[in-house]
Amino acid sequence: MREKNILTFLILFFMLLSGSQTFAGDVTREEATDVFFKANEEYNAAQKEMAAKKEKEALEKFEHAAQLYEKLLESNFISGQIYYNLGNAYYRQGMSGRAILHYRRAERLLPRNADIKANIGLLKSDFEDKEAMHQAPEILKIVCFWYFFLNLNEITAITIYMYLAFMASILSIIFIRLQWLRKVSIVFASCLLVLVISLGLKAHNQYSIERGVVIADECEIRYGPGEEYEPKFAIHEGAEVKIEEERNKWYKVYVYVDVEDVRDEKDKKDIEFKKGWIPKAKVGKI
Amino acid sequence: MKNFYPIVFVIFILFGNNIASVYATEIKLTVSVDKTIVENGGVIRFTIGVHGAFDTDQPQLPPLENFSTGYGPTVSTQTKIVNNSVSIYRGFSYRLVAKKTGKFTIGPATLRYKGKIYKTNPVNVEVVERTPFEGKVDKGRGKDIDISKRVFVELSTDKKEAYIYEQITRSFKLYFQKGLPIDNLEYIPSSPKSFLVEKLGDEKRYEAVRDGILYSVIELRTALFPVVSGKIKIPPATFKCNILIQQQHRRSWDPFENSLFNEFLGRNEYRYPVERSTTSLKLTIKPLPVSGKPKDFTGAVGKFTMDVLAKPTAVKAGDPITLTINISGKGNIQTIGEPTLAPEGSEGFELYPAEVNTTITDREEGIKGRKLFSKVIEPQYENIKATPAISFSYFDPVLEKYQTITSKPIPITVEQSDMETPIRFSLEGAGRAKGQVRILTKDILPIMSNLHSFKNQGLLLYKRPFFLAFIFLTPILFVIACIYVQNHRELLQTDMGYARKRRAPSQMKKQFSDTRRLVQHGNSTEFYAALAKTLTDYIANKTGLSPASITLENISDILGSRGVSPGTVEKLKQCLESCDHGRFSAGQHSKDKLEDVLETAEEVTKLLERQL
Repeated sequence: MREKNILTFLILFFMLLSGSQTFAGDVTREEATDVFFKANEEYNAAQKEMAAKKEKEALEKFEHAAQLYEKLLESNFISGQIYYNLGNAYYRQGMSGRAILHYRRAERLLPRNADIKANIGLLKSDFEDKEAMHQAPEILKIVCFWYFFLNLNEITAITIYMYLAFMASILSIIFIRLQWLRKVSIVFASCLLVLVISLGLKAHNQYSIERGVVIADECEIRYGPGEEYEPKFAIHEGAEVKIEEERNKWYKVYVYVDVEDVRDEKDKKDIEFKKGWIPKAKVGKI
Repeated sequence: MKNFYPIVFVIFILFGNNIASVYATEIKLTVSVDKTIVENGGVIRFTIGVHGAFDTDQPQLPPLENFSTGYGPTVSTQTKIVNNSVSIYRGFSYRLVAKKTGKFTIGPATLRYKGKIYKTNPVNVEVVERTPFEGKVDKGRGKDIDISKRVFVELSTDKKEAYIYEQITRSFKLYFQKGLPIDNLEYIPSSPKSFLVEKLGDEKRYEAVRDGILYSVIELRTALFPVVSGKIKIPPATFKCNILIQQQHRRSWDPFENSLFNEFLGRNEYRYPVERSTTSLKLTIKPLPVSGKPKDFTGAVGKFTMDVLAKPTAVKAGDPITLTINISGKGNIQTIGEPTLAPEGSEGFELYPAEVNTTITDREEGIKGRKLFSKVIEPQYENIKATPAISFSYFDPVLEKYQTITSKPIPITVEQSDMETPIRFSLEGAGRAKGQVRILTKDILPIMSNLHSFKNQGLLLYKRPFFLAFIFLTPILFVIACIYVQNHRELLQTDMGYARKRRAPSQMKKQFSDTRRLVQHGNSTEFYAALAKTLTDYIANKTGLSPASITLENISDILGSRGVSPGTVEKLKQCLESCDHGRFSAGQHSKDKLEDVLETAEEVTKLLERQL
């Protein structure tokens, strides 16, 4: 009777855990789905107008679709699909910076989606300067596949399941005295350790390192946080930056695009050169 | 005698034509003196050479007012056969004794031959006063030797202006007076950095007259290929040798002063070291013209020809054909690049890098050679009719323009291969290379519209209170459970009463199931006995007493003192009494009766379980 009670308790707890995921938020899923559907319809209509060379009408519809997507996001309904579609809507309006910003946000939530990567690649191919972002080696992506193919929430959920499995196996060893579970519990413990480390790294990468995208047409990177400082160099819309510091209405950023060509030979390896200050309004945080 | 006529015939064949050709050519008259400066009273040897004929008269000497002729002339003849070519020379040497000092010109000597008058060039001779000797060579003899006039060197090139990579012949000439004994010849060539250097042939030895003096000449030649353009300097070359000078000694009675003895020991010779350096040369190297430069030009400069051979010409698709491309000519053969295959004819061929074999065939008059390219090509389809055309471009420095040699495609027969060919997805003759994707436009991918997977991903698990409660409470619960289980196990092992009480329900269940089996067998006596034992054992385990101490009389007190309600005690007593009655009565009870009793007993035990 007691074993049954413990198992029932765990099942109920798990249901509570996963059930709460569905019903939280400011809007219900049904309401959000309605708005999402309407926004998609608007986008598709705009696409047709564009094909019919009715550019003005198409632009209006793209703007409307983007407003609907933004409305959904403002109501705390966050989805990779919304970010991706919003990126497309901004791209159609000629705002490549905002498009990349939303594609990057979508990528965090849908790390396995190839369409997002393809669109980012397409937009970046228009840039003449080289991207200097550090990319993980392919072999690492294969070996640590769970880290690269799962988003933070998915890794968290799997870690919890693994934690529960580990606890269940330990309790089973104590109560039911199943000796073969000892080896299984060691496997669970190893997996749990790996997952906890992965979770920590992922959370650190996502929240401790702030990244942004330049959303203004062209933007000057200055030596200090203010207009009174001399401009250092100019970067284009869509360039990605790492935000290192925040002061008043300025961010201190490290620019990922390669700025070697504008410097003297002797300064080529100077990392400090890529750093500078940019107005907050011109950068969108990913 | 029989063999005489064939020998004469062969000699005629070998020499007849040459002799005829020798006599057919015109003669040449040269004049030389053994020295151009002579002391008053000294002797000079004046030689008139007749080249090309033996049957001439003695040449007529010019009027010699300032010289007296001695005996003579001494006539010498010479015949040379080199490479089937006969050269004839006849020299008339006169001994002239200078009579007075001054600079004199010995006028031209004349010779009438076959009705034609030949004249030599005039020769300048300087007659100086007889002076006491102050030379470095032989102080005892009062005679100086003008070494600089006897040995000198020259460095020259065949052209002063050339194109980059064009062949330039550099000549180093050593002049030393004919008959001057020299040894230990050492030539230190200059090392020009801006040129590729190739040695040209063996050293040449011949004679030449300079300022009326007959010199023996040793000529060393190298081919230079400039690799940079601009004003280039060729550094001077150096030559070292020793001149052997005979020393004369006074007659002495000393047997070791004997001239023969000294000659044997080499004491009669004096080695005079001589070092000569040439002047440096300046060349103008022009860059190759940009206009008209063919696309396939790879830097070959000179004059070349090209032959192409394909073998075999009948193959199956995928089999190799070797194209042997032979480029030969004059120029730096080493730097010739691979000829180009015409791209329009190369489609359908698998091409492999060519193997190269370079041979220099002639080093005499400039570098000549051939470069053999063995290139393997594999036709991939059976509809190919010919090998691709091959073109080779070079720059001709004489014509000062680029030349392109193009070989015609060689017809070949390609049969179907035995191997299976992969399926081709591209259309034949579509105008593009097979497998080449044509990108029409670049655009973003469409929006996502899958509503099934549409969910709120913004609710992070770790931000929820349930998650936090779970994370913190689970370990606490886990520890509590462990403590509880540990205590339970200890009590089971140490406290017998606790162990009996804990195990009472399970033991009772087991006994009830055994009793139920007796119902099926219809054995009422054993059934009642087993049921009474089950109830007694259960109460004994629960109360910690022995089963024998529990009787119908004291059961009310035992259970009453442990908080069991009187109603339950009464039901239990009735059940036990039924058991006693059933055990000891004679008749058999029906199954229904037995089951009723069993159910009653089970109900009673459930009541007891709650209250004990």
